[in-house]
Amino acid sequence: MEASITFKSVAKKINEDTLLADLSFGVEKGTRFGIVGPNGSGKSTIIKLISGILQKDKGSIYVKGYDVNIKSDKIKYEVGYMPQNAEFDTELNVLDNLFIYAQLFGISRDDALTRVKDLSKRLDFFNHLHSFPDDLSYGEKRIIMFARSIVHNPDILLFDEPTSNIDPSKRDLIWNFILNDLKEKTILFTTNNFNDAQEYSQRIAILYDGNIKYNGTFDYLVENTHGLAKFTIIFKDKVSEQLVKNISLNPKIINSNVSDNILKFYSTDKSEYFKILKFSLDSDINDIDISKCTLEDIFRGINLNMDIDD
Amino acid sequence: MINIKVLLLKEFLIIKNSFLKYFFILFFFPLSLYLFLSIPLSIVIYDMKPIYIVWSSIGICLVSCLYLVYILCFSFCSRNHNSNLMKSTPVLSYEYLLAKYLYAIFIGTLQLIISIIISSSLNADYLTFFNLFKLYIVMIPSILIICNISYLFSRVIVNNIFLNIINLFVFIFISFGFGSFIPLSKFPVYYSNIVQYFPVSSTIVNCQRIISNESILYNLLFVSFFYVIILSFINLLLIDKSISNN
Repeated sequence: MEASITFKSVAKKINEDTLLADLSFGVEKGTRFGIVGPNGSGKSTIIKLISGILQKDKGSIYVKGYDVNIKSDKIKYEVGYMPQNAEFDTELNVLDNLFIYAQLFGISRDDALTRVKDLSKRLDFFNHLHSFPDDLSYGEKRIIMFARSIVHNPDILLFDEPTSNIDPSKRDLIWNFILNDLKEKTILFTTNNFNDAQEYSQRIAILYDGNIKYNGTFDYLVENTHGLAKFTIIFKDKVSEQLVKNISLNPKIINSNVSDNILKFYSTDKSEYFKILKFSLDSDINDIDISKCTLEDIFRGINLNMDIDD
Repeated sequence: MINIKVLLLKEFLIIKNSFLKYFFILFFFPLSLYLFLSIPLSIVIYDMKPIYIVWSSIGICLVSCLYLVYILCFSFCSRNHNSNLMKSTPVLSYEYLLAKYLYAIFIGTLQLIISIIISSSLNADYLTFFNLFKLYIVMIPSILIICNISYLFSRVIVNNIFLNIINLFVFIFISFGFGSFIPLSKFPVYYSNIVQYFPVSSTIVNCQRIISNESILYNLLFVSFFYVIILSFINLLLIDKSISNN
């Protein structure tokens, strides 16, 4: 497969703090690539480096084969960028914001107007075209920022937390549009919403400590966690202290959490769960649950230095 | 070149959306300068030829024009090459600079016309069309210099309180530091000797020579254009640095 975006040993410092260190990865053409990671891990920085808003300190970044340092002007025509924060010309209405932005990418006046109106109908903000950005809700602004990033029909789309803090209907609107209308595009998005990353990425990268801890499909990621699962036991009364002590001493149990009568923990070994269950039978149990590992669970595992084969 | 057109279109749409506010500023700013500076000072400064109220009409035109250019170019910079979103667009540094210059000249011309209409109608004096044209040409370097200076400030000032104080300083300097409302002859000699080579004060000197029907000092005009070239070069480098975010 042809790579649309390639990072080679990229490093970036911000205020003397190393945010990205020796970062290397690639995004294949026509795929959706999700980056998850803790706050301040450098997700937005990766997007800003590609879109030319920030400059790397070391390494190389290629977009469609062009070095971003040498051909940044050419690359900007190929990239659509949706920032994390609402950025608008507040003195212009929504129509003019999008209309001007499209023209800056070489779209003719007539085409720009047609595209803006078409997108506004499909993304359900036609009634807001003559409103000013400050009069809109956060969710409406996100939808309009999403429309603005695709108004010039770029091949590569960079979405910085596209659906954060917006209601489910607007989130579905954005994701359905991405799945149906932007199938051919290369999409790189960052998110803190693990469900979104799990559901809509074809490849996922987990960014941790300035580097990518894991990069691959979700299924492959689950395989390489050696069957990590989340176990829950709900007792009738408070969890016994002896049980808590046993769990804390067990090296095969990860991230145990006791809250009054609820015991939660992660493990790659189901037999450990049965051992604990057997030990717990002395107490009254209300409910038990074994959940399939989610991306969020894996992310928590990584935070706790759990081994994941890459 | 298309991007310059689009950047200017954006600014005109902004003016169109707030037309009444802009009209109010364009009209009342020179009028306020006339009412609250020229008239009171004309009572204090009376030993002049031409009379102070006529002499200061150049100050009204120049101060209103340059200060408005300074303020609006500051906003232009914040909206364009200082904005993160605009950094992701393929607009080049020279396109930003040229668009900003054209915008500054447009705003400056508009304010100059309104100021001349106000001061001419209130003073009952008049300038010939040729003198008006000379006045306009002499003022262009100052407009571009102020436009460049506003960008330098926009690069370093982020705090709103500090910005307001700096804006006040700029107004005081343009109004009183360069001989717009108080003749340089009233300042200590060593100060006026230094300041007369500053581009804004050399423009004022030339403008005042135009209304006195004297020939303009071309050496001062060339010095002003020289400043424009130097500042343009510095600005271009800074815009380039800003949009590539080094």
